[in-house]
Amino acid sequence: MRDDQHQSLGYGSSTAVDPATAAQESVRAALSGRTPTPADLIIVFSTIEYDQHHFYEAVVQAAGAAQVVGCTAYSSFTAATYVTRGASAVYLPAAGLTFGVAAADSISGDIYAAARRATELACERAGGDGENSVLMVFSDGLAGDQREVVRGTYAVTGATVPLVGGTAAEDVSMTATYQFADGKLMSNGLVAIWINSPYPLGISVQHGWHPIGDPMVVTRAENNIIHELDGRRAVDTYLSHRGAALPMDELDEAAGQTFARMTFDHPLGLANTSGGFDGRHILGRTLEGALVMFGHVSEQSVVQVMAGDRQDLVDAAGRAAADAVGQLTTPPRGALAFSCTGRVAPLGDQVHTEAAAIGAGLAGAPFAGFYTYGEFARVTGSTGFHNATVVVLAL
Amino acid sequence: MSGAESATDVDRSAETNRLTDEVRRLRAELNTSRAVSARALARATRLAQLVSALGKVTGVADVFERAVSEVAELFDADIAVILIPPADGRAGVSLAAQWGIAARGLPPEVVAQPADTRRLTSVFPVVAGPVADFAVPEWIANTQPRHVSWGLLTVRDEHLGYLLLLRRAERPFELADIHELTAVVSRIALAVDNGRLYRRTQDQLHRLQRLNEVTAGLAGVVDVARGAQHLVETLVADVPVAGAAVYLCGTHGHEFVASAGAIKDCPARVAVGQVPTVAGTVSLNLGLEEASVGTLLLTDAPAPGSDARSFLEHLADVGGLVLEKAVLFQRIRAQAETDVLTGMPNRAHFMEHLSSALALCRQSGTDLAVIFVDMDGFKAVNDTHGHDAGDQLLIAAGRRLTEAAGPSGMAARLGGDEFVVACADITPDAVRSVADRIQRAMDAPYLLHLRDNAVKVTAGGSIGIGMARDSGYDAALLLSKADAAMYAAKQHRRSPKSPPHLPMGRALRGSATS
Repeated sequence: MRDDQHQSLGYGSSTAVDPATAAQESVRAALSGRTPTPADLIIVFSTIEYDQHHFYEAVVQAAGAAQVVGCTAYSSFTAATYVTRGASAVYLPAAGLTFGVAAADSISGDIYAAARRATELACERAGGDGENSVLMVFSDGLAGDQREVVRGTYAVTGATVPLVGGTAAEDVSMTATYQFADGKLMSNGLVAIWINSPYPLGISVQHGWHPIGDPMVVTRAENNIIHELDGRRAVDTYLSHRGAALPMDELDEAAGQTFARMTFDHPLGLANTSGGFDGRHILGRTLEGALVMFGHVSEQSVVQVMAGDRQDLVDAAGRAAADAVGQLTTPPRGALAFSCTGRVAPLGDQVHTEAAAIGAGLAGAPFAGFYTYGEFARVTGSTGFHNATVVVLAL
Repeated sequence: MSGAESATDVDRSAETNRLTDEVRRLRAELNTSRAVSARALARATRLAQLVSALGKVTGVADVFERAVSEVAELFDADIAVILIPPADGRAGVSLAAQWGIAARGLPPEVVAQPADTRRLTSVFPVVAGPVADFAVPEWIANTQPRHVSWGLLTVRDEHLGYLLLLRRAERPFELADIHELTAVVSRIALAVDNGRLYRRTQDQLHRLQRLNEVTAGLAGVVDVARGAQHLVETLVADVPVAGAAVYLCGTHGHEFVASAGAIKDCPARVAVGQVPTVAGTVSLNLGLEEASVGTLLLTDAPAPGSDARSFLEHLADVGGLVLEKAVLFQRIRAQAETDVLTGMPNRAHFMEHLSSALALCRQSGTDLAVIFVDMDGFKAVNDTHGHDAGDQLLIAAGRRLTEAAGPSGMAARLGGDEFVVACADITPDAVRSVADRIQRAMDAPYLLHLRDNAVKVTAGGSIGIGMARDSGYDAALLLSKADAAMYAAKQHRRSPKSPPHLPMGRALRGSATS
């Protein structure tokens, strides 16, 4: 029992206004009296209000010998609480796991190369790949086409190593996100954590959104920019299909990235051959009427506007957790969850119920997570970047 | 609570449960319907997505790279691989592009052709099924696939390679997948074919542009050596060939002019009637076959019939024309600058040379001497022994003058029996030494061959010297001063009482005897 306690995932959170206090309180709570070793990992998720330099200085101090990684979040949660403003920390004792951590900064110039480089280094630092390796990634959610992150990591992991993680977020001002690894704070960076495990880890992704309106064909697109839907300006076509109208006076002012905030509740969904929809949130719009997406959208693909019923979203979160745990061959030590910021609006004042559903799906195992600008999850198939989903990594 | 109320509550509860179940059933139906719809939509457009994606790239390598990632994603495969025949003609297949195999799991550069690819034909270009139905090589088996699909990339009966898709999940390739993959492999092959065509067109365009540039560059070249060097360097850089050498036809056979790149042991000259050859080379005529200006020797020339060979032949044609023009120009210039009888530079060439040399001497502050030589006994020889003898005398005198002037002096025939020598960067003392040497050479007897016999004659010359510094570096004045000095010297010879030394002038007596 004592061993189980020592090996289980620890979590903690703080809503202290002072960044150093928040860092110390959350990390100490996660450690719960345990003394970390250099092989252990501390993961922190903080909201953007903190001075990130002061915050991470305090995290590193509180984490002792453990490696520290983290990123900013729209909000975060643990098994015990939902943190609108503040920080959550996770303590992951090695206990048989090996963590290789690497970072890449200024990734927007060449996201693919940065992701590939960081993954190679992380793998090397973990001592190469093992029988049950998993790659966890936190990237700058505003960096550009996140599919390039998947492509870059996939070149190193291949199909046999699953991918999991989330993109760093902030308060939907779409200004800047922060990432931390290797003792370095970045605002356009990527953190790769290569995990080698003696037993299989569980990964699952679910969303619970459903399509509304008619299907639209992406008639002109380039990487993560949709220029035309059904042969018309993408913004116009999207707005005509989304059902709930946007206030036109605000819309006129919603140039660029504030448009993202207004459209989070109705992402686009790309029909896939598995019978599901891959969500794509809107990062902004251009003056020419194009939609800038968080991830790549193929030309000639079919998209539909998506809507989320509260209960469907919550149920999906529970399924993701249960599915991830179901893949384990040993009792869960805990889990990490990455949920999309776009889910917060449909969940409304019941946003905490999503974390509760995850907890229920995990059958009481400790967990923590954060709300992202996009999730990474790839176990089979080639699609690894998602929007509007809940991704759960069960350990 | 009354019994009636209780019964009503039970009824309501049952109704609520029934409605809840009904809602659940309807939602499940709705979800199933949405899944069917999504699957149908995705399938309906995935070929169009692939075509659109492949349409954004043009290079063959880019087509392969794009195809593997797009097809893997569109067909929910974990791994996609394209294998092609090795470029160097070796047996087996090599990896053209892959998606989903980590670097550590990649096969060697060339592997044996997987046995299952032999099941593919142009009529049935796709086979798919559970991994147990396939003999997968170890490097594929290591990725732990559950379902395999092989596709043949073929266009106009040419097999370009193979597309391999692997699914690690328990999700078989359905008949609809196989039908669509048949279209997919055809589209990829077509994109590759278009890529090759595009590359060929681009290469041709580039060569045409280069040919225009080279032609324009060579058009202004009138120097044979420079033109030949330009040609061989262009051949090595642009065709490309490993090495190239140019031989030009002359009266004494083929003469080596220029070479570039890897070509060794080129003979300097090849006798008339023989063609230049060097081991390991092929030769091409420069210019038209019947009027070839020379020969081009080439190492590692492209094979006949190829685009590169065609480019080479165009360049050889252009080079031939340019060299022909340069040779002609060289001949005309030589004729314009040379005295026909003696082969010495003529007056025009001498004056041109003098002007340039004077400019340089003025710039460097050095002096230049002009030695004017007028034969004394030429007229007597001409009148006594005839024009042929006179011509022989002029030729011999010119040769002696050239030798006496040495390599730093330029000797020329001005006309008649007047010769001139220009010596740049020289002092008055040194020029007197040269003049003495010339005097001795001119005074020596000449042996002339007549129709029936040979005669020995003496035909000395009168010499006058002009110095550039004294003439303000003016060519006409300098020549005039030298002429005047020569005249004074000639007068002195005729009337020995006159002063023996005019400025820089010396008289040397000459006479004709038989």
